[in-house]
Amino acid sequence: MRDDDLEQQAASWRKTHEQALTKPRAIAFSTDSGIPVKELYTPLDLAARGFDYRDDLGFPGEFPFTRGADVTGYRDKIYGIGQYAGFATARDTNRLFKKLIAEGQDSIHVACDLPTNMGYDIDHPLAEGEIGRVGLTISSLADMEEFLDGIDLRRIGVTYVVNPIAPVILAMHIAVARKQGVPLDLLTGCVQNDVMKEYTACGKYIFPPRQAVRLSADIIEYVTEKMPRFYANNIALYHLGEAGADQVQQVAFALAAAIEYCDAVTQRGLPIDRFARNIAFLGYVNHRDLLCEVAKIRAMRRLWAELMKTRYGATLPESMTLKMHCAQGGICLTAGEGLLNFGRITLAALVAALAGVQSLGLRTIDEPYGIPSEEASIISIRIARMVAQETGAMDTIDPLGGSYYVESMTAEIKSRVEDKLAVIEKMGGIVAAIESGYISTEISNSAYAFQTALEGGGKVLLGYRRDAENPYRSPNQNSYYVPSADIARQCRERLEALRRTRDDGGVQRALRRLRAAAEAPASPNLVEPILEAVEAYATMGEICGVLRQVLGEYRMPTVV
Amino acid sequence: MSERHGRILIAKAGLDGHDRGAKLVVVALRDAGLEVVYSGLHRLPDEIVKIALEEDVSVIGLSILSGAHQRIVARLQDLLRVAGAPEVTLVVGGFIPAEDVDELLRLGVSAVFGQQTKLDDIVDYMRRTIDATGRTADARR
Repeated sequence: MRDDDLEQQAASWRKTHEQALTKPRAIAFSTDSGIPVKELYTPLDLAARGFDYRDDLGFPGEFPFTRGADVTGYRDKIYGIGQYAGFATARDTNRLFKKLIAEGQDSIHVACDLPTNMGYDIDHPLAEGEIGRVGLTISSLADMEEFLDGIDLRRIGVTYVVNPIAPVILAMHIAVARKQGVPLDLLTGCVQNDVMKEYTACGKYIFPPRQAVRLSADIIEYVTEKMPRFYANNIALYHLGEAGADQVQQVAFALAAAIEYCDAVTQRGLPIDRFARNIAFLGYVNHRDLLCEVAKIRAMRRLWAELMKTRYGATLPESMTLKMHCAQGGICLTAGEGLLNFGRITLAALVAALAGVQSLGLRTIDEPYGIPSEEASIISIRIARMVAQETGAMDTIDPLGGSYYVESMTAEIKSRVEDKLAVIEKMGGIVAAIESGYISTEISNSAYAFQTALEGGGKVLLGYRRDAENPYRSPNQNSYYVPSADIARQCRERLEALRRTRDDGGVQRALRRLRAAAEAPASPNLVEPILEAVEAYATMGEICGVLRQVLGEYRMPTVV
Repeated sequence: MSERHGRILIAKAGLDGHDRGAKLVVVALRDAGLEVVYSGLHRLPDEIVKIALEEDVSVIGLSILSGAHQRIVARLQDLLRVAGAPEVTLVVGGFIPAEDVDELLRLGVSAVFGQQTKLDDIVDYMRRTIDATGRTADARR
């Protein structure tokens, strides 16, 4: 059929059914990102965008990778399952992950507590009341050894969602691998090393942005050279989304951060094809705007491929493919009517399956109330598997490819992200956009718009206004994890014992060498001197303390 | 005098870096015409009290999601007493398990807001609190 015929038919359809079409159940249909949604999408919408199958989609595993990073999609294997979890002590977290692995988890994604994340020893005043609250306490290599005890690092990848302390955690992981006799080139997993979003969305920063970029580049350089199977970063959409960023902002701000890290590494003379394959992303999926979430990830695959090819001149396919572990957002779960969260968790898994991400971590049914319990984490593992193996969504590659709606949204999101990236570029890049307050304001505005729409009834999230004690309460409501009352004492005793038994002279020598390296005008790579300090059993606080003194600290201003 | 007794400090204490909710409240209060100060992240309790005194606020709205609320609230109340400013109203918002709410109220917190609380309700509460503080101050004069 010729397009003008179709156009005529569409116009006639609209005219014939005008009365029915002018009685929608909402004043305006739009996504949470504010993209208008029409009542119907047809080939005309694609034609209006100059859609071309070869240019816009191509084939899986081939440029521009819209239909998938891998040739085979899920025909050879389902997504990896990586629930994010962590208990206060290394021993408990070790037991937890052994259990989760036995239940079908493929890789470890460990949550650390806030003192660890911020590079403080547990006796620092800011650590008061925070020890083990939101995850594992890692004070020194001794904790890491216990956490990974009996876990085969050849087989199990470990992802650390740590940012300003990423070089220290990476060094600890390497040190444990050495002790276990595992060659570094066999290690898989990832260290999240994406501090840019911390200044605007998550708040776990230590150093000023420029210094953070230096450390990030150090890690990429080191990992690329010695740990080819390991990811040197997973640049996050996740935290941006949780802070309120809409779909377009999530992709734009994550890509703007990626550009910053890649620029820093290429400026050191490392060609893009040497390190791009070691960069991954932490995606964000929700049941809300379900089809647009799929479109978002498809758009991002293409944007990343084009960015690598045109901006950086990448030539290898593995430099251009988007590697993504996707995590479900917690913001769309509700404490009221907690049973509904089962549905939300399931739908988020479906989004990931339809989008073709490599790995998935779901939220848990008890997460609106506290830290996920072992049981709730296992249920989420089983839901991920159920969606993968029962729905058929994984049986063909990119099942939504060619949908008039999904392709229209993929193109729309891509174009909006490009506009936003151009704005950030004009400001001088992500660091300038952070320092000027642009990113924070954008995120806050989106969060506020969503919240007011929710409270005004324009957007719906069932159960969020209801008390957690309503009749549809979740059976797992009280199953969440609470660290034992004397956790601080236990951790302090461990740390004191370590300080008594280690070779203090060795620690001081290693810390002096680290300081000298950090101060050196040539800015040598700091991973090696940090590794030396780690192997001497210097504590997290001691190592970060030296770095704080030399690199400085970032402090968010008080706003009057 | 209404200027003197009308300000609100929205504060983030400890290492908790999640301030989506805190910023929502700041914007909502500002939109409603109230004067708000946002502490920024990672403040120690004594820094929060210092800001509260310097900015002469009548309400501190502590936002906390990390689970460290009991320790931090107790510390804030002590510091306010020591600083001779026990009349400053303390409210808490964030991720507070239901069973901890009573304990916070016992510690002297005047209200606890959760994820189901409407922004409008927070604004109303703050306005009422500020009006009451103003009346108390007038009566003392």
